[in-house]
Amino acid sequence: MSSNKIVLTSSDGESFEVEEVVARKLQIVGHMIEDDCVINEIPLQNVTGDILSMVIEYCKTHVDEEESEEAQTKLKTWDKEFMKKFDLKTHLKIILAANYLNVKGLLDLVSQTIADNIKDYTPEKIREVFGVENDYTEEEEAEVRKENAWAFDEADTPKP
Amino acid sequence: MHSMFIMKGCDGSVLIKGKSAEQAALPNLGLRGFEVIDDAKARLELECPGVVSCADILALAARDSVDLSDGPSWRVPTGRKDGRISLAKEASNLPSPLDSVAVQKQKFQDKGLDTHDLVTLLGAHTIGQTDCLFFRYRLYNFTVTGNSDPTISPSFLTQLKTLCPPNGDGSKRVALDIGSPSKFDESFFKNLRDGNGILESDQRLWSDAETNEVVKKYASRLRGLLGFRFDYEFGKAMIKMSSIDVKTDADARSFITTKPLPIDSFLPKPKLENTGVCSYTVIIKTSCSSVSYTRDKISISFGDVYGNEVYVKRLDDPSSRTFEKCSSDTYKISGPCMRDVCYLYLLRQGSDGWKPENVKIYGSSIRSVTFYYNLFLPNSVWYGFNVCNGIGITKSSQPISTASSVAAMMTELAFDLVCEILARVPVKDLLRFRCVCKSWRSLFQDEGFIRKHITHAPSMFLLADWWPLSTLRTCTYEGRKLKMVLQEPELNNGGEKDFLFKTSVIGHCDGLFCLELQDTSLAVCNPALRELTKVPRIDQQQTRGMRIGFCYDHSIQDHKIVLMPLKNCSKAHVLTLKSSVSRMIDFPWRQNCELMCKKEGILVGEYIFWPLYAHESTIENGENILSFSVVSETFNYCSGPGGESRVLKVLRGSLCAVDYKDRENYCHDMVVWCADHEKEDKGRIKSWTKILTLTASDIQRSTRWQVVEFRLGAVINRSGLLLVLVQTREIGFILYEYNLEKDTMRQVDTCYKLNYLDNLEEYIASLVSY
Repeated sequence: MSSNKIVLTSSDGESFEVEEVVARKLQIVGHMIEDDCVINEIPLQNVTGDILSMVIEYCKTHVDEEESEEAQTKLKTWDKEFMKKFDLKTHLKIILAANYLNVKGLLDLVSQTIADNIKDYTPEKIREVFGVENDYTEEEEAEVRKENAWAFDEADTPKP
Repeated sequence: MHSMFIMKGCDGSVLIKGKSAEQAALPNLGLRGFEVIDDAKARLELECPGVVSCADILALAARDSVDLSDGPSWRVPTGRKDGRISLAKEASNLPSPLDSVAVQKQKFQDKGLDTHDLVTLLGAHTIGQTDCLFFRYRLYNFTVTGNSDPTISPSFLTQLKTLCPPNGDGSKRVALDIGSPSKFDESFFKNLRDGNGILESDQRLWSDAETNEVVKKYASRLRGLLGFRFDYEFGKAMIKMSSIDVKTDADARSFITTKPLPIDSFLPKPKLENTGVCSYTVIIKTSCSSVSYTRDKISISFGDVYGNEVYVKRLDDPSSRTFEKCSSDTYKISGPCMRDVCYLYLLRQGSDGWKPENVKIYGSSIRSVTFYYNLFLPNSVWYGFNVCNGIGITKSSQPISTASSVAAMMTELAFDLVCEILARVPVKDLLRFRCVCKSWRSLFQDEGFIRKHITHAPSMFLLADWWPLSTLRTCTYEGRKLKMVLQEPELNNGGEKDFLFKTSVIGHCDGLFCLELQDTSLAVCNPALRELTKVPRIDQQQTRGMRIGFCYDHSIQDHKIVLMPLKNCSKAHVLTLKSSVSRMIDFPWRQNCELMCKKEGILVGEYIFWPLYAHESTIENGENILSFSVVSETFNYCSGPGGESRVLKVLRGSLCAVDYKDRENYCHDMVVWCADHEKEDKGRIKSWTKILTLTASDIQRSTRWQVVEFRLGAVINRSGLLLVLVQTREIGFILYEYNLEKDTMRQVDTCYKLNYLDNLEEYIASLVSY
């Protein structure tokens, strides 16, 4: 393992010195290293310092992914706790950053976290959160609701 | 001038400073005067910022410096874009003073310049200087015996030795054309003729037959012979060279160095209405090393950073040969008007294979762009390029720091990220989200989204009992708990009661089940959507008691039901669901296999397998398994692991066979085998490996019950767990989870009393609909 240090700089000018192995978790950086484009400092224009520090924290924790079930379970617990620290707005910032920096594991994790958090929302809440405009007429919407009526049942317990 | 010879073309990259940048490359060490260019650029930026590139300044400065030395002048075509990357490594294709003529010719040829251009352009050495470093080796220790380069004339050698003593300063500057160092004339060529060339690479132009001719012509001009006018030719060659791979707005975009990659998260966007319509021309060149032609289904999608996207589901034309090797196919495609195309993906589905060389796209609203593939595309994977990051996406980065509300950020969230999130939402919630808007509703019906959703969807179990009453139940299995979610009456089946009485499961894939109902008619059921639909009968006589298989053919994006005769018949039926077409195909019927053939087939990838129950001695070569290729619709007989393989299952993507070996005390052993499939044709099996032998006493040891009987209830394909149903003397049926890796057996909490399980099938809760 190389112990090279690489400096990652966020859009708002915050710099982070990380091990090369950690930086490589950011595939965008990994590709730069492979293409020899990198000396030691990389400006990352689409991510702010506060979010970049979270991404780096994730990458540091996931730097050596052990195969063993124990290590996997431990990581999963860590992932869960890590995600719990942030609200939806931060999750969305992280998903944008994970996508731009191309950190697959984090993209998966944060996508799943957002999915878990929004799955119980009503369509109205979803529209509000996602900024989606309702383009159904009242009749059309009633029709779609009727077709999927069972999905609106709060109580989904099996009948005895 | 050297700047013009970088791989990336004439883009001013020689001006970018840095330790590993071009200025530091060995052949460029002799270059001087960067500060002049820097100064010119700085002044121009003050007058009209961002208009004149460094590359243009460099090209213009090269002209003017020649002009000022009484040399020719030429019109410099401008409009170069500056390169942003400058690497010493890339300057390695600069001609070096150490290069042989052959290497120099090649380097020029690679850039589209010929021998004539090579000699002409080297004529520029009529002005300028070099360092002692670059030629001192010719003066001392050139030959093995320590002598100087014999091509240097003796008088010139003495002169050079005085200028560059053996231990003197290597960076000392010496004029390249000693006779007239500041005059742009033919004297450089005369020097070569006379053995007075300073750089070895220059002098070699005289000894190489081809270049010698050109040098002679320039050198002899004064003597009035017919030759080239050096000053005129030089201007021509400069324009030619300065146009090498030039980055301009009109055609600066080709991604040769970017490697195509599989995009597992890619999903084409549903068509948006009310967007402008622009037309694009797409030219796809098929490599000469591709297959002679392909019948595979080819889809294309490309777009820009602003979310405009073109998606064509099928480019190929099933009626004619398309994508023949060494040929180009041109398509006119219309779609939303976009800015520069920054991503392009191709999807190939089928078994023929295809190797595209490159894809060029141009249109009225975009710069032309070429993406270089040059590889065989893998099956069923979006494969391509995305260079959108870093191209004008400051727009989407700003809201990160300025957006005050979550909604504002969500609007900025690229649609593919919204899909990424929604693909992880359970089916039932997605059904509710159908009400959000029309485009979401159609998204959930999009084949691409459905496939993506499947990769994240959780495993479920379908429990089908047939005694004492036939019922279908769906369960979740988590933490060794089998929890019921749905029972049969909740299925939306058009109001028919006792619809599923005496139903058997024929097969399932991607969450869609094929059932045989009491009246032997077939139905398709997605328990996650609570949908159940009868399949139109093909032929009443034929369907009764047939062997049946159910599968999904990716190449036509449709489900198929295959029905084979039990009796003497050389034809089988294939029914495609969406198109509801029924066809007859050849079936290699064998006399000795007609008995006791298990009805339902097991789907492994794109192959269905049936165990054949005939007596071992009557089966040819022990071939007691029948396979069917879903895509090519061909049958094949293969050998089982020996013995009677009564039950076939799927374990970690491979076929596995379960044998029950009789013991004296009625209770048998269970032996599980795993198949090693042929890589090229998974319908064929190379060998079998025994992975488990489980005996009643094994179970008795790890439980505490007296075992009456036991059998395999289900295999959890993804995690490699076996669910074993055990009938105990004390408390009836218990379900156990057997962990293959750890060799442990733990009881499963089933919440309700188990009966004799007819079927316990793992499936995926999906959006797949019939």
